[in-house]
Amino acid sequence: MLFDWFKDKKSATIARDRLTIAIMSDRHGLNDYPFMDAMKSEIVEVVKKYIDVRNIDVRKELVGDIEAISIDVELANSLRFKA
Amino acid sequence: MGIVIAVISGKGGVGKTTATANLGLGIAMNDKSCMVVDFDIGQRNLDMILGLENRVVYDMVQVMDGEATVKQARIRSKVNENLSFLAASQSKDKTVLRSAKVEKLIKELKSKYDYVLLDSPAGIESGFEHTIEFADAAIIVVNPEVSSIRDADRAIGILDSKSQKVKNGEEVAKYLIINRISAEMVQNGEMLRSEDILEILSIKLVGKIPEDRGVIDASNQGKPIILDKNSIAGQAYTRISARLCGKKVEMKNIEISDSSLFKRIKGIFR
Repeated sequence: MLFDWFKDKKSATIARDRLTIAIMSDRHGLNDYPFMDAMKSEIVEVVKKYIDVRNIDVRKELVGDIEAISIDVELANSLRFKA
Repeated sequence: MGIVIAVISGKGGVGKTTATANLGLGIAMNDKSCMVVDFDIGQRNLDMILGLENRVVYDMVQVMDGEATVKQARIRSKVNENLSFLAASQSKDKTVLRSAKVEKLIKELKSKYDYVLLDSPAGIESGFEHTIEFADAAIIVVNPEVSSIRDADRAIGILDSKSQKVKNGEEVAKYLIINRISAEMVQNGEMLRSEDILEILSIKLVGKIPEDRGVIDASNQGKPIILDKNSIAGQAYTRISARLCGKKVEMKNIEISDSSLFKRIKGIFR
């Protein structure tokens, strides 16, 4: 039944489905905005002003259809507040 | 102050140069001054499509290098005096372009013409980046076919990251032209529908152009197809040009061919 349905699928529909997936993964690979580096260094500066951190990672992410920016702050071993 | 539009595509051979030539002439026919510049350095082609190849004396690289002025290098179309053309350099390669020089040239053209169309090289190398860098808007040309659409998406991605306007926090307007649509194939489910393409690329449509054998016939003669009032592709370019000049022209559904409509009507009476 399902097999028949696939067989009947028009090539335009197949093209649409294949393109949707290919483009999704292409876009996911483009992991940057033009302002990414500048923004990252500013965020690092601000966070470091208040707490000790080991590493800060700023990434562009794709959640379903929605673009998001994720910021991971890895804290230093012993957390110390500076302010 | 004019508007600068880069005509781009992901892959080559989708009809970008033909589109640039026809839209340039179409804009001129709407009583706007229009300058078309061939940015495809090393692969000069726009002059052939416009039928101006015998009149090229200076090219745009020479203008950028100060060896010639815009006034000396520009070629005025004999078909419509609102249309001017700057040829690409044939002897040099794409790497000769420098941002500062490109910016200066585009600023000058922008101050002199209502519309400046830049025919971009295909793909996403340096020549492409220079064409889009200082453009106010971009027209992306695709064919209803997987490789063309996928590559167009990458080109749009680069446009969004390299455009000077985007860097300044503004938006660069993007419009899609779907070229070489076969109504019959769309009806048979053998070709992507324009709605699907728009959804995949999430971009605005400015026009659809049907497959038309006349296009090659027109380029053979160096007479853009828009001059042929009976050609369906020419009529499509006329509509798109009017839209670019701010006129409201309804989107024609060229994906329903007359013959399939006829068949359907016949079907009713069967």
